[in-house]
Amino acid sequence: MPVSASVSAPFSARFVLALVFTSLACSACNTPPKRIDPTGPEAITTEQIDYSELREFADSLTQEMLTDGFLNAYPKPVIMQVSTIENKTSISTINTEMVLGRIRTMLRKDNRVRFVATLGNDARDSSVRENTQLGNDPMFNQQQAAERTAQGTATVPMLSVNTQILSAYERTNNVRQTNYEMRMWIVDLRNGETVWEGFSNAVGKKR
Amino acid sequence: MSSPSRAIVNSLVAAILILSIGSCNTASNVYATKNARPNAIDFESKISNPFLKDRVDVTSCYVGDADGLLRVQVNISNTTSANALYMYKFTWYDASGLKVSNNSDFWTRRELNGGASSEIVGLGPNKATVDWRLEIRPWDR
Repeated sequence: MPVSASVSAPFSARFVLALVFTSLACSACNTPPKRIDPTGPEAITTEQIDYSELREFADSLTQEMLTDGFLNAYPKPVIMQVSTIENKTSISTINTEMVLGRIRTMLRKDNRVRFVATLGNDARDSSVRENTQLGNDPMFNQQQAAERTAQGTATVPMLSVNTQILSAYERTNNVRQTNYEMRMWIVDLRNGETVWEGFSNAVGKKR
Repeated sequence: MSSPSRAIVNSLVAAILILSIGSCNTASNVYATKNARPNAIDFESKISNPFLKDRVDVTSCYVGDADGLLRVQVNISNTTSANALYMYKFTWYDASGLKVSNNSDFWTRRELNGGASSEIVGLGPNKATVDWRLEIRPWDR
């Protein structure tokens, strides 16, 4: 075999491989983005909690809460605050606000619940408190400051909402499974009693 | 009464009887569903299941009130021996037929074992909700 042929053969193989990888990478770059229904058939299923499962958590918990009947013991709308949102799974990227925000939205639409933005740990609005200082600021219309700021008029919540996202890990020789669910409980702030608690539908992922 | 007029009266009575029997049949068809217990409602016009009908079959449907909200339960069964992966989505409507804007119109994924029965349950988002539609379709893992 000629010397030049034995040396050039490995180089040409590498060259071809590099060419293939480059073309593959380029074709991946050129794939145009595609808009999909985020919970539809094209949505991917991962080992962690997917978007459709977050929606399912919110929906099943709201259904549990609204059909339980415990809200009937309170004036309509009953005022709530969000106290705790705990992610007790090993996944650091769970968007707990996505679940809680949907629960809040669905409860609000039923007109039986309203949330305060002045207390708690979700969807706070610090401007309510900041605006109480406008009465001391000569820049602002003092009559409007007296009428439109929370000077002894802010609503005190009656119930407190607490949530946890939980997981349980199981493993055999070749298979591992993680189960996820969301827990929610509601406390009457007048006496500290838990007046409702429930779990979402559980979601299991196996690999 | 002469015989021609008697014939006309007889024809009229017969026509009324036929019509009334026809209307009775129509009324009973509204509530006739497959394998249904009493109070099941007609579901053919409310459920869209074009792809999975041979595997995930809707057997009956019930509608009730849950603390003032419309609650729907659709009973399904897997008529095959293989597991079936399906997803479903409820859409809710008010008395004017307008879609109730809500956050529940998303696809929920489920698995139904071969030969098993299960329920799909939905809750209307508010008290204005009076009607609903359900879509069922397959999904891949």
